[in-house]
Amino acid sequence: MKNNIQKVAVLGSGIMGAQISGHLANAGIPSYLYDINQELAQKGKDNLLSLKPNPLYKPKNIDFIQPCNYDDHLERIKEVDWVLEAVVERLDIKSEIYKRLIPHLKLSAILTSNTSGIPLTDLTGSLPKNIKERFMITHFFNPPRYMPLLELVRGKDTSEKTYNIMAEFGESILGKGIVHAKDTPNFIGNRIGIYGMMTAIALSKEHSLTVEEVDKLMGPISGKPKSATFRTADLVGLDTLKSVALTTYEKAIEDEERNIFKIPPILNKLIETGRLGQKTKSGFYKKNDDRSIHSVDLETGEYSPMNKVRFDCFRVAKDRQKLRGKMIALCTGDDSGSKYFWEVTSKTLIYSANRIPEISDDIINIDNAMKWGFGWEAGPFEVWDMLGVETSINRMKSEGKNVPEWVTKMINSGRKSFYEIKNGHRTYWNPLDGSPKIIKSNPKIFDIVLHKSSGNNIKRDLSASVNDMGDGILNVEFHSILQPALNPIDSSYIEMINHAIDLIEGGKYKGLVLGHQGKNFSAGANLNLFLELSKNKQWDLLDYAVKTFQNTTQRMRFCKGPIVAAPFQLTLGGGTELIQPTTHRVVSAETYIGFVELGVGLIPGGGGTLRMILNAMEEGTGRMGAFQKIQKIFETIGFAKVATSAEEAKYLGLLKKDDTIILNTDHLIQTAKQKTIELTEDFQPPIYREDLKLPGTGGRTALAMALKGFKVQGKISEHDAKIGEKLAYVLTGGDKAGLTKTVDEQYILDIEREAFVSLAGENLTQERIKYMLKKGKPLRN
Amino acid sequence: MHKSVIIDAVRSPIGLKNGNLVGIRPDDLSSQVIQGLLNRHKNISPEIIEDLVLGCAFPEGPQGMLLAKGVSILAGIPETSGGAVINRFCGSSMDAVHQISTKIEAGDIEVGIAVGVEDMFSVPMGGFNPDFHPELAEQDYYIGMGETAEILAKEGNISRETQEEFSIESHKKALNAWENGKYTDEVIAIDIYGERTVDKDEGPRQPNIEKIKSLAPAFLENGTVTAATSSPISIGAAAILIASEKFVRDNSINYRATIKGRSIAGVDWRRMGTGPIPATKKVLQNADMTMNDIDVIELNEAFAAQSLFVIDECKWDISKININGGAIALGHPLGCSGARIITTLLNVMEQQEVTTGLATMCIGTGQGIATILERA
Repeated sequence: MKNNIQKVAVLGSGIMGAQISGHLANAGIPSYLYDINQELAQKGKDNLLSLKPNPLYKPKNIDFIQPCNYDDHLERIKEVDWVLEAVVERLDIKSEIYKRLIPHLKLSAILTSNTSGIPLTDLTGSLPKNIKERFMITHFFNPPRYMPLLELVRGKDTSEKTYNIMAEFGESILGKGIVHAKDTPNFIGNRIGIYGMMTAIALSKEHSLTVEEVDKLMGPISGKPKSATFRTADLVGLDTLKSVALTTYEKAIEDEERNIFKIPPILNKLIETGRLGQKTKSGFYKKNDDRSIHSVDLETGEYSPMNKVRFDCFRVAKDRQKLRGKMIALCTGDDSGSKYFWEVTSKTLIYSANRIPEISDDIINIDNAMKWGFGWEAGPFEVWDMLGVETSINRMKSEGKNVPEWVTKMINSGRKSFYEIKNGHRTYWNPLDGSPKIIKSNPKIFDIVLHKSSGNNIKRDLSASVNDMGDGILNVEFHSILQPALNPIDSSYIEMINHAIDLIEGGKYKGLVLGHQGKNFSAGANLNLFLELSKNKQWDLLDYAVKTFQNTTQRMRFCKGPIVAAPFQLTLGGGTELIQPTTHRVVSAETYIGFVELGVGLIPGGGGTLRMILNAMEEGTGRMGAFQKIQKIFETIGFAKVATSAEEAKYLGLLKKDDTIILNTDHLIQTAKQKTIELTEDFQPPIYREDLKLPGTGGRTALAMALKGFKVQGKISEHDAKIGEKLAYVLTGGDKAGLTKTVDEQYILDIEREAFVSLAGENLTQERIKYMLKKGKPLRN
Repeated sequence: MHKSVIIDAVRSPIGLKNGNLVGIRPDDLSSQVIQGLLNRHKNISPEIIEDLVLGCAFPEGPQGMLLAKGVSILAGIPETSGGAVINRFCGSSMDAVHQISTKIEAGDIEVGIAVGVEDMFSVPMGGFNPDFHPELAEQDYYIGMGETAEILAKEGNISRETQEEFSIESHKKALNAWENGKYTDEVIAIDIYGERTVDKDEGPRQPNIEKIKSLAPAFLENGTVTAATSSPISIGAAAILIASEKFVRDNSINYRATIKGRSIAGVDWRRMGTGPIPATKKVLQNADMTMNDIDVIELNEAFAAQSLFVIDECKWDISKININGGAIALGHPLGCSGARIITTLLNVMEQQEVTTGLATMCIGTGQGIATILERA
């Protein structure tokens, strides 16, 4: 598909403008970044290199951005296809800038505003008709690299073409989740999201809950981000929170819950005393000089150490694997936490339902906005489905709450939930005409769950499945029963992969996509298993388990049909080892790949070292000798480097240079399927390498000297050095390699396995594994 | 026996990491220095140069393929001249001076050039493909240079503060020398492919005491040696025109100094920084002199701790040493440094109007090398 936007001008080099320029750069789109003077624009650009979290996939992307000022460079506007305005939220300033740039605007160029508070009708008030057709609102969420939400708002004059170009560009090029919003105060995300936060804050006082108690309930346990309610407020900035809340208060006069958007005394008090959140080091929380964190008393505004939070409902919820179970546990407990949680949740559900058709004609855009813009695992209507719509509206009614009429109507019609899968289609309830509707499928998205619902599951094991994707392509899908979010590798992954390869080699299928639509591709191996086998000194079993994994990765490498892996988010350790031997990879730009074995006292055991050697040999930069290539791998694995983007993974040699990177994770499986089909054409598996030239003993001794240096510098521990020596042994080709010799793939696998098993036998390694399993972070011993 | 004399010597500025000199090929850098040297002596035809010996510590990559002959061609020296690369690590180009002067004194040649070069940015220390002997590794033969300095600091009881004072002094002397034109005669401007010209050392700077004090030990946890008290990684080249005394007399050519003595000595590689001690002893013997005869000293400052250890051990008068600053301020481009300190020594002797000077340096792997010059 043709991309209509090749060059962009971003007006305003503040935190949003600069970061949007940065994300355009991530997508390979050059931009002019404007501000009132050159110095400010330059500063906005430079700032991108120090901002956390990193707005750029790789530092070099900054070269796509050219700082400009309105006085000297307005001419350049004529080169761009899209002008995005992200200047200060003042109508007079925005209007003035539009006036100045319009004479330079190309006839086909689109002009959009990133405003979050100024109505579109006000913005277009003074614009000529032919500009109004090409004007709309494109509202990004901070930080734009990481927040998928892009809200689009059209005016009555905005042309269909303009709107479609922006939607397509946002979705496919920038990888954003598009939400179609209306020209209403704070659109969808901030309207509902801020309602939820203000309600959580207001009710915490009524229910006498502390800041840390609220955050315990409103965080990951209920499918919300780690920063929950109060820490999110601190991150956003309390002044910003206030101004967004006031926008709704002042402009949404008809809103039945308008009063909740009034600023509570505690928020005003904090702001008046300069406590604006993270940027001032104190807000609802305060970070002390000794790095301890105190929380504020919502009554007095004084800080004190946090108390350990205990709620029975939390304890029950924690034992539930899936969000549905957690939500039910949180809503139906009988402690104060549960009562509070139900109040906030039920109010938010009712509020969301009442916003139709005011802010959206359908439930889908509301759910999407909350997932993509506020990091909710499920949107309000999905949550409502989880709780059981009928049960919860009965409870609401018994508590005297006003349940929106259309929801009651839905239940009365016999429909039990907002969403349902019916006859191979996803359907949703349409409040406007009171009937279910089919969700139009997006040809770029392959919906595995939906696809399986119509009988395409070939084999299902506890933690993985083999699915028929159609067109002769299989899919191995992970759905870990142990940890659904992290997908640690267990035996069913191995079995299902082997089963799929059997089917391909038996001639029934042509290729395989390795991927799924969960939260993380795979955070690595099952450490519990290693620890168990090591503790019981079952070395033969451990060796067998590792060998089985190695053999599977080699089978993947030499499979008669192409295999395409589709990693996203965490892809660590064993997860990395599963994607590396495949024919090709279609990778989400937000994928964090790396070998983290050192942290648990191990080295890669599933062929990771061989894969890194092959990657380096096959495409390492021309001028590098064998030693340098090995040294680079040694550092990547030895320092447990995790790439912070797919781009960086290429640089580290964890991915191959020609692997496909796409920005929209939802498009991953469909793109991978298309790639697999392409690769089936004249497919030839790679040739087994017997000619690996590795540095041998001399190079290994050089690496050992480097380790010794790190040790005396106090940079690594004795045990780190030991692991490093084993790693050096494997990477330099053990006893058989050398400048005049060659080794084959199996030899590397054998010495890798030997090193792995021997390290697993070390007490210090076992301590590291235990610590990781208990605390979730590495032990340095 | 013939006598060998130094007609002239020049060097490039020394460039540091991310500096303006980085990017020039080491062969281009060397040939510009040689051309600069020859341009100062239009009365000497390049035709009469018989050999060129070039010192380089890591002669591979852009410093490989017998760099000496390539550099000779680039510098416009006729094909009739020879070219050899000598590697004695940090002592490489002092050895080049020794080789050329020895050939002259033996009567094998009449005129030759000794060169030193190192681009530590394009060829890493240790080279591209280090391949170490396990048994030598066992014996600490590959010990890090910083660690050897830590050993001497401990043995000589040299505190971090003392090392820092020494280093600050090195910078002050170098800055002062630049301000007062003491380097103008020895440094020639280098053209970086028409893009820019570099005519000044990049190392010397006003010491930032706070920063110096805040640095973490660079080589040893709880150690005393830091980046501020070590010579920085750098790039540079130097060239010295040497002839027989007979040649300069017959052709009425001015010369600057006579080479009076040379020496090489070996020491424990774990204490490689002590190399100058036996090397000096030997060179004095070879020249039939005592330390009292020496007016000024150029002691290569690999590390402050190492320099101080040698100075303390030999009880040298610190006011005679590195009067225009040393390698801690200027940088220590390994293969270049030997020819560099001889070049600086010539100028210092002239500026101080003294007769006899000693140049000496330590060498990784445990050696020391020394040269005595007598001003013409």
